[in-house]
Amino acid sequence: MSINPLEAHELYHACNPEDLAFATTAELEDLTDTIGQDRALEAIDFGVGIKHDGYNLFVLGSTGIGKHFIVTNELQKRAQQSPVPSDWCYVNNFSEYHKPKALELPAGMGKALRDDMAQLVDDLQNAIPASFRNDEYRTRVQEINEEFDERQQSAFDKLNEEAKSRGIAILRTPTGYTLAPLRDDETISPEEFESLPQEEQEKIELAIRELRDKLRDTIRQIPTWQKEYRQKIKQLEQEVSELTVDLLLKPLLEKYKTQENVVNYIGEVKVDVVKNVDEFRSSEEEEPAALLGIKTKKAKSPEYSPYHVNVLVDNSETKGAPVIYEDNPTYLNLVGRIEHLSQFGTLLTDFTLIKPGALHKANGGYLVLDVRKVLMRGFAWEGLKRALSSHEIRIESLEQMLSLVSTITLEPEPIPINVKLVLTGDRMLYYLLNEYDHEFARLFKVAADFSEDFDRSTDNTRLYARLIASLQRREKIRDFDAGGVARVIEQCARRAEDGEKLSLHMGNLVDLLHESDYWAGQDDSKVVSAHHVQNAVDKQIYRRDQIRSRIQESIQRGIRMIDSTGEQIAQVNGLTVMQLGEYSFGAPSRITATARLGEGEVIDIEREVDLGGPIHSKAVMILSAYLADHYARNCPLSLSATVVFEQSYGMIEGDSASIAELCALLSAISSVPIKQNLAVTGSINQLGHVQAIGGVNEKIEGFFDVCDTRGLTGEQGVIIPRANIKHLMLRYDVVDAARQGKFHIYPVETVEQALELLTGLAAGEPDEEGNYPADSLNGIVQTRLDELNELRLEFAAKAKGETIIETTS
Amino acid sequence: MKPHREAKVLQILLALDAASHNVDALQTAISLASQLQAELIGLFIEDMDLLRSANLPFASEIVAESGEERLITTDYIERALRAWSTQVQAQLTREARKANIKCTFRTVHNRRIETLLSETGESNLLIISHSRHQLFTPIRKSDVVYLLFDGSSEAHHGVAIASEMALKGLQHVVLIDSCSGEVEYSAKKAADWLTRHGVHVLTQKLQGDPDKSLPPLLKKYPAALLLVPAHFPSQQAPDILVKLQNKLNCPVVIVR
Repeated sequence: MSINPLEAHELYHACNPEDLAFATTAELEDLTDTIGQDRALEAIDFGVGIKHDGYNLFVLGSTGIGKHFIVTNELQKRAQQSPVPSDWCYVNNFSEYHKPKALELPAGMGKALRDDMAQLVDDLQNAIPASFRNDEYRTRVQEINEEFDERQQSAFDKLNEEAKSRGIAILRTPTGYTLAPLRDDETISPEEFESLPQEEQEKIELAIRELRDKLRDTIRQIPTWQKEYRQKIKQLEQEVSELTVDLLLKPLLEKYKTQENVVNYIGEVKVDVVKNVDEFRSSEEEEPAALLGIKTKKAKSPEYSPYHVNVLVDNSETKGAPVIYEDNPTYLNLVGRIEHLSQFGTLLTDFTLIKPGALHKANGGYLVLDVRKVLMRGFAWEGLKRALSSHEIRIESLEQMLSLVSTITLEPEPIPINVKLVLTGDRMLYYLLNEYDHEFARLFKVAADFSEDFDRSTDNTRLYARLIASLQRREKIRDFDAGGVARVIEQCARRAEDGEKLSLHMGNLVDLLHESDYWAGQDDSKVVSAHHVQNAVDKQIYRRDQIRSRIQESIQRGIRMIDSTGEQIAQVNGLTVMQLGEYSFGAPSRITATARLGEGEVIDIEREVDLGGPIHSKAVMILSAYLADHYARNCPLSLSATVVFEQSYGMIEGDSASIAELCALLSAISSVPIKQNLAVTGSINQLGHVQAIGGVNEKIEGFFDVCDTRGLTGEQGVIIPRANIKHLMLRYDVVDAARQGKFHIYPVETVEQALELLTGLAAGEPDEEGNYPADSLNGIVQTRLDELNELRLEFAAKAKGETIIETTS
Repeated sequence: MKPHREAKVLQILLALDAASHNVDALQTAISLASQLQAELIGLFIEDMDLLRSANLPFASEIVAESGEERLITTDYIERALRAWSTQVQAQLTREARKANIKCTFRTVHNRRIETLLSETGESNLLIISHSRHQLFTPIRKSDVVYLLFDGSSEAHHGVAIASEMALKGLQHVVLIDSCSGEVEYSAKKAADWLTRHGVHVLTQKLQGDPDKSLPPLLKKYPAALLLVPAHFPSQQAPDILVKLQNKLNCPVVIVR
C-alpha cells in the first residue's frame, strides 16, 4: 500500500476574507449574545431560576475563557427582572448592649430611618432641655420644693414654738443644734441654773430632754423627706420627658407604622430616652474621665449615639437584585467585621462599628467569587459554607471563632441570607472539591461548564467576526479589515488545535486584538490587516521562544543528536511537545531500542528511573502487548528489549510517541533500518491502530524547523495519525514547503502503514497459519523472534544438561 | 428727693454666723463689692447665748446630718466656732482675691441680729444671710433684686444700688412699694427712673405686716437679695430681721 502525503490545503484550514462579506469591522453590529456556550448558559439559567436550597453555581472552564464576564453579564440581565432586596440595619439593643439587633426594612428605608433618628436626637437635644426650662416645669418643681420646704420648716417652727412655750431656746451650733433654757429672752448661765430650785431644774431638764427627743426625731425624718422629694421630682421629670418624647416620636410612628420591627424599636428608644433624660439635659459636654491626671474624651466612633441606625446594606439606589463580585474574598470581607477603636491600649467597639461583608451586600441577589482566591484565604471557604448551610450571616471575629480570645465583644444578631452564590474556577478545582469536600456537592448542585471552543461553521464564523468587532470597539482599538479578521479567526482555530473549531478563549483573543492594533499603529495604518495580525503572532512567539531556539540551536550544533537524512537501525525520530506557560512548541527527539535474547520483557528505561509518567508506561506496555499478539501467539516471546528517549533528562509523559517506540523496536528486532528523513508521532492501541495525539501542529513544525535550517531535501516529512488531519493549522512556511513538494505530511491509520513509510518495506499480511511473507518486515521480525526462541530453548536445555535433537523437515 | 445717680458704697459689712446659710450671702457680698468697688468687711458673730448654754451640765448637741447626740462644753463650742470662722475666712479671702477686692475681718460677740446695726459704723451696706434649712437645691438661678422702697434717702440709695446691680449683672428689679402717706418721690417714679436707666423693673405693693407679706412676694421670682432701708427694722417689730431671716431664701441687705 502507498500512503500519499497531504495536500497543502489540508494542512491549513484557511478563512477566506471574501466569504466574510464586509470590508472592515465598522460595518458589523455588536454581538450582544454569548456564542458557543449554550450548555453553560442553560446551566446558569437553570441555576439562577431554581429556588431550592443548594442550587448554587460553579462555573468551570479554563482561565481567560471569559467566564467571569459572561456570567456577570447573564446575572445582571436576570437581576434587572428581580425585585430589589431589603435594606438591613443594626441598631442598639438597649437591654443587652453587646447584642445589637438587626432590622430588615424595605429598600431605601434604611437611610430614611437613619436620617430620621439622627434628626430625632437633634430634636430631643433641643426639646428636652427646653421642656425643663419652661415655666410650667419650673413652677411645678418650685411647688414641690416649697411643699417639702414648708414641711420641714413647719416641723422646725412647730418645735421652736413648743420650745419657746416651755421656756427653751433652740440654738444653732456649727454642726447642729443645742437646747438651752431661757429667762427673759436670754439663755440661763450655769450659775443661774444652779441657783434655781431643784424642782425648777428638773422641770427644765425634763423639757430639754423631751424637746431634744423631738428634735432628733425631726432631724431623722429629713432623709425620708429627701427621698420622697427626689421621687416626686423624678416622677415629674418622667412626665415631662415622656410628653416631649411622645410629641417627637408621633410622626415617626406614623411614618413607619407598617414596619412592626421599627415600631417596636421606636418604643424601646422612647423608654431609653426617658430613662436617660439627664443625658439630654446636660448642656455642657460630659466631663472627660481623667487617667494619670490627663483628661481625655472617651473614645467613641464619630457616629456613635445609642439611637444611631447603622445602615449595613442600603438598596435605595439598587435596580433589581444586586450582583456583587468580591475581588478579595477574605473571611472578613465575606461575612463582615466588627471594627474597634483603640484607647490607651484597650480596644473599644459598639454597634456603629459593624461593617458589612460581600454576603450582606449580595443578600437577595448574586455573589460571584473566584474559587481559587477563596480557597487561598484562610477560613474564607469554611465561613462561606457555614453561611450557606445555616442560611444566616453571623458576624464573628476569627479570634472568637478560634477561641483565641475570651474578652467581651459584640454578638450582632444574625441576618438571614438569601443569596445565589456563583463560584468561578478551573475544572481541576471543581473536581477536586467534589472529590474531597463532602459539603461541596450539597451546596453547589449546578455546574456551568464552559466550552473551550465551538464549531467553525459558516454561521459561527460570521458570529465570531461580530464578536471580534464588538471586542475591538469595547477595547477602543482600530477597526480590522476582512483580511485581519480572517487571520484572527485562523489563529483562533490554531489556538483551539483544531482547524474545524474556534477557540472561545476570550482572554487570548483580546490580547491578539490589542497586539495587532499595536503593530498597525507602528505601521501608521488606519486599519488592522492580516499582516499586522501575523506580525503580532510572530512577535508573540519570538518573545517566548528562547528555549525553543536554544533547543534548535543545540540540534544544529550536533549537541542534541537528531538525524534528518539517511537510515539507522533501531533509531527513530520521535516528536515531543513542551509546554512553557502559555507557549508550547515541538521538537524532535531520538528514540532508540535494543533487542536481545530474553524472556519477553520490554523495558521502558524512562519508567525504570522514574522519569516516565504512568501514561507513558502504559503506552510501552501496550506495545509489548502488540508484539506478543502479532508475533508470539503460539510461542513464547524470547526477547528482552529496551526503549529510551535519548538525551532526555526530564519527565516523559503521554503516549503520543508509542508508534515511534514500536517502530524503533521492530527495527531493532529485524535489523531493518529506519529512514531518518521522516519523524513520526502517534499513539497505538494493542491492535496496531494509530490514535490521535495532541500538539500535532507544534510537533510537525518542530521537525520542519530542523530540516529547514539544514536545508530541505524534498524527502523529509512527518508521519501523523489520520485522525489528526482536522487539527492541522500549520505555519505558512510549512504549508508553502508542502505545496512545493519540499516537505510532506503522511497520515496513517495503522502501524503497518507507518512502518512501510519508515522502512520502505511492505509490512506483510499473515496467512491462515499466522505466518508473514519472509521478505516482508513482519516476516523478518517473525523470523528473528523464532531464532531467539530457539536460542532460548538451546540455552535452557544446556542448563539442564540435555541435548537437543535437531529435526529436519 | 430723687434717687442717687450712682451708688456711693464705700464699705460692705457681711454678717456671718454659724446659724445661717452663708454661701449665698458670701456670693452676694463679693458680687456687690466687686460691682460697687467697695471694701468688704467680714463680721464673724459669736453667739453669746450659745457659748453660755454650752456650759450647762446637761448641754448636748444634736448633729444636723445624723440626729446623733453628743455632749458639749464651752471649750468644744469655742473650738467649733474657731474652726468654722477659719474656714469661712479662708473662703472669703480666696473669693475676694479672685474678685480683686479689699477684704478684712472682725469677730464680735453678739446675741441679736438687730444689734449688728450698731456695728456697721461707716459701712453703707450690711448683708445678713438667711437661716432657713435649705436642703433642696434651687432650680433657677436667682437673678432678681428685690428693693423695699419707702421713699427714704436710704431707699433712694437702694434704688441706685439696684440699678448698678441690674445693669452690670443682667438682673431684674422688683420694687416693693411700702410707701405710706404722702412721699415726695413715689415708688412709681422710682420705677420710672430705673426704666429710663435701662433696668427691667416690676412694682409690687406691700400690704400688711412685712414679716407676713414679704416672703410670698419674694417667692414669685427667684430672689438674689432683698434691699432694705437701714431704718426699716426700727420701724417694725423688734425681731423683724430674725423673722425675715427665717422665712426668706435670700440674704437681706440693709442699706444706709
